Amino acid sequence: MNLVEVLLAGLLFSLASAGSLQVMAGMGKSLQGAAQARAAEDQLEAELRRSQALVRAGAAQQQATDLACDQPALLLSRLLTEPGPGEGDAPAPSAAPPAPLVRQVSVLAPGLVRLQLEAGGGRWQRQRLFSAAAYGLCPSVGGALG
Amino acid sequence: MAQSPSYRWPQQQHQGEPGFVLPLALLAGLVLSGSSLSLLGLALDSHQAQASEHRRLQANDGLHDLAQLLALDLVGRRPEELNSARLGPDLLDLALPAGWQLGNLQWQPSEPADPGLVALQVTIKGRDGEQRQGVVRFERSLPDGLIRALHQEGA
Repeated sequence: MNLVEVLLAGLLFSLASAGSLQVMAGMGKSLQGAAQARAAEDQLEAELRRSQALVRAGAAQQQATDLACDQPALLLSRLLTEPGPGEGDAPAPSAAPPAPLVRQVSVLAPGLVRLQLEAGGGRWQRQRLFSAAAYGLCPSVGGALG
Repeated sequence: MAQSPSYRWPQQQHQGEPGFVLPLALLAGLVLSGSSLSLLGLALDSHQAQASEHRRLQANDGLHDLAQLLALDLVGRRPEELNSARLGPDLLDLALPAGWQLGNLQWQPSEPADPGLVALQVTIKGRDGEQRQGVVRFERSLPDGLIRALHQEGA
């Protein structure tokens, strides 16, 4: 064993360690990104389901009360933008506050609106169309195409 | 104390003999590189799974939105009045995510047990020949056979 051998061994080991550390750091970032993506996707999915439930409940209520629906798209928009039951209440102390979602509702046609949701500053997006006819809301808007 | 001339210090004894440090460092380097490559493989697998999940969600959203458009078109009509030409490219662009297009629409045979429901099989196609199918069920009123509302959509 001489000095050259020790130096060479040290160099080899340092290079391998440095490369490995870089890969592990990259892996850590990748895992963190994957976890963030998963959380954002779950949050978007939950919000879409909640919106669907709101529209379904609103449509049932509208059918029961037989409200006037001369502007079905506005009715849908209102259902999609109104806070749901229990929303706005103080959250449970143990619940971690979810990252804010950007929610945009746009009217595309009579009886058709689009809900766009964004999470993570636009990194993750989902959209859903809502048709008044699909929910039996304002049956007169059916057959609207062609 | 006098030292005999044949005595050599341990360092002097090992000089000139093959050492163990270099092979050990080589082995450690190989182990570290191997484990790093395995981690890279795992990261790649995870990335691919994430991309695949994203594509699945996109296709599901497309099928859902297509069901909404079909309801907009079909409610108030009879099933036999289905005409995919009424779903023009502009409308399909609204419903289907980029890279997907409408493949096929086909009514399923009615179930005698539930004549108030009709089922439409919807197929969308991706860029690389990938296909996704869903079944959209509509409620229809029995006396006149007119479609009333969307009952359920599913993959």
